[in-house]
Amino acid sequence: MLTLILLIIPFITGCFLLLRKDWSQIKAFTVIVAAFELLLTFWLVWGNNEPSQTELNINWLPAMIINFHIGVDGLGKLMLLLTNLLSFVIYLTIDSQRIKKLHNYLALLLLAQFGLIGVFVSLNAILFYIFWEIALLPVFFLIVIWGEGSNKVQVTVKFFIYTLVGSLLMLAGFILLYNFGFSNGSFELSQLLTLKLDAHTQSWMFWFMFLAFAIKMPIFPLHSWQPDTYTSAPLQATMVLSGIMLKMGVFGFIRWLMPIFPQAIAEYRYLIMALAITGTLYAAIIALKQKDIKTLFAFASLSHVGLMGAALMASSVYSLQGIMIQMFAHGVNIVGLFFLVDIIEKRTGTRQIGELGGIRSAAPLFSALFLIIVLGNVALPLTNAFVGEFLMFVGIWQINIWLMLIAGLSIIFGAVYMLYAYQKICLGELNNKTQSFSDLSLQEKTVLIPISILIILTGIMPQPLLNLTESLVNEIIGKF
Amino acid sequence: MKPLIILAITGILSLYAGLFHKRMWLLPISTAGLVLALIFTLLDWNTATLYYNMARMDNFALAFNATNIFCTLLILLLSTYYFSEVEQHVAEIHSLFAFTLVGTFMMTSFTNFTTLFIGIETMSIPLYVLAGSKKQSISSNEASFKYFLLGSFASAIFLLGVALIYGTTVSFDLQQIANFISVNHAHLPKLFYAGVMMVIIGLAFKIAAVPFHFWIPDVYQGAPTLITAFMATVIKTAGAAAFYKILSTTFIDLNGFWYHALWAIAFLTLILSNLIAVQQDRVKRILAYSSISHTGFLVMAMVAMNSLSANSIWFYTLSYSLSTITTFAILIIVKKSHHGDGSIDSFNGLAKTNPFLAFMMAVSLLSLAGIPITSGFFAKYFIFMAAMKSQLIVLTIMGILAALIGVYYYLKIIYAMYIKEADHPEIIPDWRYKISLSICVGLTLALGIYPLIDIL
Repeated sequence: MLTLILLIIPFITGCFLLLRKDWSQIKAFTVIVAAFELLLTFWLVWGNNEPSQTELNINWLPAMIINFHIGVDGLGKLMLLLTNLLSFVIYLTIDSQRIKKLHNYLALLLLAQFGLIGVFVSLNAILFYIFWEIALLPVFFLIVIWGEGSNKVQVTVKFFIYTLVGSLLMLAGFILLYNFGFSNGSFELSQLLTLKLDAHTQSWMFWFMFLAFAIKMPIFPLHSWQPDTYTSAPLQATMVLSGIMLKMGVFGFIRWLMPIFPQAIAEYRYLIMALAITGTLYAAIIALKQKDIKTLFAFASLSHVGLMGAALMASSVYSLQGIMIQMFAHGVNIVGLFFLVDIIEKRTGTRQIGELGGIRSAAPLFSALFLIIVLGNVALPLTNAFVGEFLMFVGIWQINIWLMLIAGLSIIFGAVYMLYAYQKICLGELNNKTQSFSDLSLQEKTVLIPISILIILTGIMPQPLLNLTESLVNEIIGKF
Repeated sequence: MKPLIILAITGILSLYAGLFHKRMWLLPISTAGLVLALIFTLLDWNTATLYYNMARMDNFALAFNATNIFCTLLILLLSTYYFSEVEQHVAEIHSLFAFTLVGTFMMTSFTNFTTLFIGIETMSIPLYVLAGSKKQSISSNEASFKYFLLGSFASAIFLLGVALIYGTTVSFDLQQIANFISVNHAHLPKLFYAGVMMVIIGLAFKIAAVPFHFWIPDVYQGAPTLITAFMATVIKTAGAAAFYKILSTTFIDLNGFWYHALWAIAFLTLILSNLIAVQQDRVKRILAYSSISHTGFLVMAMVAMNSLSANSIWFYTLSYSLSTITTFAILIIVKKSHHGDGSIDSFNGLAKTNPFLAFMMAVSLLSLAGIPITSGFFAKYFIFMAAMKSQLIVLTIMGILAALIGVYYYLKIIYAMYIKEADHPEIIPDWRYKISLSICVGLTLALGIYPLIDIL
């Protein structure tokens, strides 16, 4: 029941906002709802809840064996926490003066949140697919209507078609599983988990679902939609895309792909790890060359995700636990980074690294928080990303030390481009664009200070998050 | 049989209303007749009746009939505004609608080739006239003439097929033919197979499956838009019902014979129509080709031919009809108030001037594309389920690709509405349009959350 409430709050609020055109308190209202939602999430994650309270199973379409079956396990809890925490932060970052038709904008963001929560709590394959598509639509409209850049039409078409190819293949994969009689005549997760497919079936059916998740993450070479989309999307949509939506791919991988196709994962391990690590390095090298901060961070995100892809295929307890932490850390960091980009753009009117400089002397607090987030992103020890990347590297090492060493290069590149960007932006001499750079406003502080605290807090104390997913990870790895 | 008689009487009454120049009576008469017919159709639910071994009103027929009546009602709601400038022959148009429906009734309920043929002709002949009902327009006349020539050609092929089948089995009765096939399965003469193929070709023409689709773009483009909407929904629904019925009852034992032909038809229909649709820049042409593509999905369910097929075909036609009526209705409004040519550009900025219409259009297009929480998703899902149940993996993947290409050209229209700047003033739609659109879109969303399964 609690899960249902969590799921339905953003939906109702979203629909409600669509109808409230001229209401001045619209942002405050959304933030309060999101805060309430976040508190409920805390209660769900760390409160003492019986499984019966969090699970709900309704026979939706009995003839088609589609059940409205929602519930949370450790992984679901982690993702819910991430989604609702980041959504709350994302609503806080909205500048109500700058956005036209704010009520529609907020409503679409809330509907996206609804779809995302649905993805993370679905325990039925078709329900999962439906929420997967529902999450896509609002983001699509956010980019179409509020996006920037002259080529946003091509960008969104590419984004939409890419994602739809993947998700339709996933749907076909689920139907195949069902119709070949493998899934005991059911789309329920619990039934699918008991499947014992033979190696041959696994090795070709694997690709249907793998492609969907690989596109969403994205894993090289299916990534070409991502940097453009991040760059042309409006700020909050970029945050949703990079902070939460990309984790849908990782989540789907862990929830559906790994337990059902363990042998296929072992079979294609080296191939996909090699691709993912290639992508990691490729994105890192491109990021080195970027002049536009937003594009730079988009490629940085791509590079980090490639590492997650490699760690997924390594599939050991270490690498999976590392991914769990890294999903959370990456979400927090990237939202922070994109918000920083927005602050810079708002004040100076440019995102070009070359035109900036010396902000530290004009805005010390801004620069300090910027540094914390940058250090978090380059995975310095005692920051959140360190825990995740360290565990992931341990996992990859167990497979092959050379792969780990090559992947390790991306950490070095990461440090180079992040610190280079920081240096160019914050250090050096003030110029005419950054001269009047004012320090953080109250609204910006309320976003960035909690993010910085979270970065350090998760870096020092990752245990509560690791505890959430420990039993699930052991169970999945037990299948290999 | 009551609905059929009611509809025939409605048609005749409309003619009389026209004769006495009682134009304001037309819509009430037609609406009342259709509503009555709809009620009687629904009342007959679960009571299958056989009429003189010629027609059988079972749930299958009733479901398709109800869909057709309902769609015609929605189209009639649009007609007053559409024909507001037309001075003459409105009564004839109303009565032709009713007579067409009579034909579709026979096409869903036949148990005899005679009934089927009469049904096809009763449906087609009023349509030839309707397609040319814009008498002053050259393209309308062209559409009518083209449709008439090709349609009668297809009817002739169909009849020849029936004759060849009769030559072998000495019967027009479907049940007897089916018995004959199952008894003499091993040694049927070659001409019999030719006959079966001709029947299939004739019906494939009616539902516009590739390679029998060539008439569609020109006829859809030339015919008055409202009639196009009628053709794209009611006629396709009836054709699909007849096609499925004859394959699933009479020719079921010849499965090995027509399987490959239909497989190829489905494959070609899915790929060709979508590839051509991508290149179109007139909305009406896009919808024409997309309607061919939807035929591909229907044929896919027929190739699958299992327990899920009937229901998935019916649900697909229902979902598709609702969305198609909405898109055509909005096209009519946009064309009429902008005096445009109906290109995609005439939809520019519709979201800014008319958020209501743009939303309705967007939902319908997304439904045609098969995106969840619209009925179109479940429609495609059921078809894929049916196809996968019969292990049609290649065809299903083709269907997925077709759906993807479809998304591209539906998105083009959505882009025009939401991104481009408005270059036209606000449109004030007629209240009947608002009702009709709201019903269609409301049902599209409702069926997207609770689709009708296990009906057939």
